[in-house]
Amino acid sequence: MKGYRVTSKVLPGTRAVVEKSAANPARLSSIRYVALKVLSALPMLLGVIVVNFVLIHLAPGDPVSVLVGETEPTPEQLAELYQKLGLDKSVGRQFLEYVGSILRGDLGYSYVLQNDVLGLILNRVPATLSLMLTSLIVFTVVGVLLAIIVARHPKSLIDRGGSALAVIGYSVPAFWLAQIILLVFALQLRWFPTNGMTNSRYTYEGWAYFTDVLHHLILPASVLGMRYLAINFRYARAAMRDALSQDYIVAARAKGLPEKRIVFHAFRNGILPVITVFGLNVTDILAGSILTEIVFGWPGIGRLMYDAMYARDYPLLMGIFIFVSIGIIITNLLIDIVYSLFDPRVRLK
Amino acid sequence: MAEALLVVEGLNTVLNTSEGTVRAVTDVSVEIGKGEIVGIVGESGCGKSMTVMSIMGLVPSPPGEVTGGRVMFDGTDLRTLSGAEMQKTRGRRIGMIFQDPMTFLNPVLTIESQISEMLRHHLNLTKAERRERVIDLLRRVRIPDPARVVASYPHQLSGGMRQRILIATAISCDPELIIADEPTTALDVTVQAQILELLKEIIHDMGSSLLLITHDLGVVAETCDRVYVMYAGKVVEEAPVDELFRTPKHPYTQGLLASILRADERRDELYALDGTVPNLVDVPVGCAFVDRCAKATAICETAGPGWTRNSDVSGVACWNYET
Repeated sequence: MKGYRVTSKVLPGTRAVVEKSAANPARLSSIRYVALKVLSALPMLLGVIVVNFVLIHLAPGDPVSVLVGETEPTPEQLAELYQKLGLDKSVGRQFLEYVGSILRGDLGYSYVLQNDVLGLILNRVPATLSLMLTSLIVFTVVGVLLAIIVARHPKSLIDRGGSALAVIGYSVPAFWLAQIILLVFALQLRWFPTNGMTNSRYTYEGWAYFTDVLHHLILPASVLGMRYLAINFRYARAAMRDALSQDYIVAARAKGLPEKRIVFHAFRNGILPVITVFGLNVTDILAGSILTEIVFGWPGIGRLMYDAMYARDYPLLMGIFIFVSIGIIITNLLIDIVYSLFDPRVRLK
Repeated sequence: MAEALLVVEGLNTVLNTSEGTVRAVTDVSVEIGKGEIVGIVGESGCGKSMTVMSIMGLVPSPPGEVTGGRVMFDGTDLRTLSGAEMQKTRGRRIGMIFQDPMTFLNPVLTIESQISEMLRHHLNLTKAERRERVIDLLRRVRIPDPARVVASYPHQLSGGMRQRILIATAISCDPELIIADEPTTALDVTVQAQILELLKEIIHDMGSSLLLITHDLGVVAETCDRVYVMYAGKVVEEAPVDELFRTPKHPYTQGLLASILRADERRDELYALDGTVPNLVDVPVGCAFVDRCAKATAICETAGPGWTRNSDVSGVACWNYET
């Protein structure tokens, strides 16, 4: 084909408009959207605190009688204890003080572990986050990438095979998979350690510490993530296929865009349900991580919660509840904001 | 007729479905001269859209398949081009405008990125050059406040504005040919007229040609120089617009014209063509229009009519056409 150039001249006055367009007014709606979302999260936070407060009060037994145990205190001693713990005040007053202490970051004191609850939880946060997030992010990304490849070849062998494997992937219970994987990769093949987050015989630092944790992380993260690989593969595959059949894809082809760009057009739409599902999965993976942390001896919050339940360590349990609830609310807030970056339509409604 | 830009000869396209092979386009020949505006008119399902998709090499496969014919564009048969060469032709030399401006724009990308991507891939313009050209294009299609519109998304614009965006996209690389598939069908009547006017003006300014697909003879009358009438996957009549409206030859064309309402006529009863387009899986042996035709004779049942050329620019496929 012969060479061909654009011949049309720029209309007079276009320059001025181009300069004007540099100031982008679209930002304002984004800022308003984020502010609205943050504000709407506040009542939810309050709700969580109320539920937690009610739970504490509904719990059977009187905290003072648990504290004094077998000893027989005088009424004066009891009254002093009530006063010391603030239990002599009205329920409304107690609630306000409870809210105040949460705002100050005081989640109570664990008598079993003789330690500050918030400190105990924060200690476990890095372990849980490294397990949960690695697992969720890595396997979501892999699932979506596989789906993009497969969506371009509908009804092919890899499409059908992948979908069948995905069904197995999210049907298999995590505790069963964990034990099988431990048997095969840790006990038989001896490729990975069976337990813990670090090798307790050595104290590594820097890069060596990182690789040691990674070595311990691979098995639990895989067990935990298998489900999310499968779920995201299925969601992304359906979403990509739907997007690829839309009119704007026909338009993109008619524009003579390369295949890469056409997949991008579909991806920008197909990723939307995956973002929503990611938000749901953050909540879901918490339950999965308790099981996984127990099987693999991973020193995270799930493990802490399990121990707290056995020890009847109520202050610690309540602290974990409230901490996790707040964490989930914040995560969902972030997901909403990320979603709005990908789908401008939600910003204006 | 001016020097030919696009010559389609004996185009055949089928759809392989589970019910059988649908003959969507049968022996279609269409010609468009440089600077000409040509219409293809016919009712839904007559193969208009499949014809343009076949020209663009965009027939979804499976189930679709172009089984024969030539698509000569500026001396090259587009059907012999490789995928990469065809990609450089689409959008670059042949621009396309679609029916529904909502669904044919990507809902999550800005107007600017959807026009700009063509300038990047076809013309290799820098970012600043692209911004300037996008705004220039928006001004050309008379979009008010282009500085704001570039950053907006499709859902923030009205139907008429979105159609203008599609036009701006189609003309972004100064194509020699623009194919518009029902460009005004999804719009209000008042907006329709504005869009048609704009389209004509732009085509005229660029010196390009326009192939306009429509079911609306009113649109054809206002816009086109010549027109092809399609029925059941075939071209049944070809004529310059004034000739077609003055002396329609094919009974189908006559039926279509008779069903138009006119402001200067009073009618007590509306005329409508009886029946529907035949199922294209079992194409009748004879003329496809025979069941709906008032002039049908014995031969129409047994053999398809050949093409009778009446002049350089007009012809008809009918045994009993009016002379």
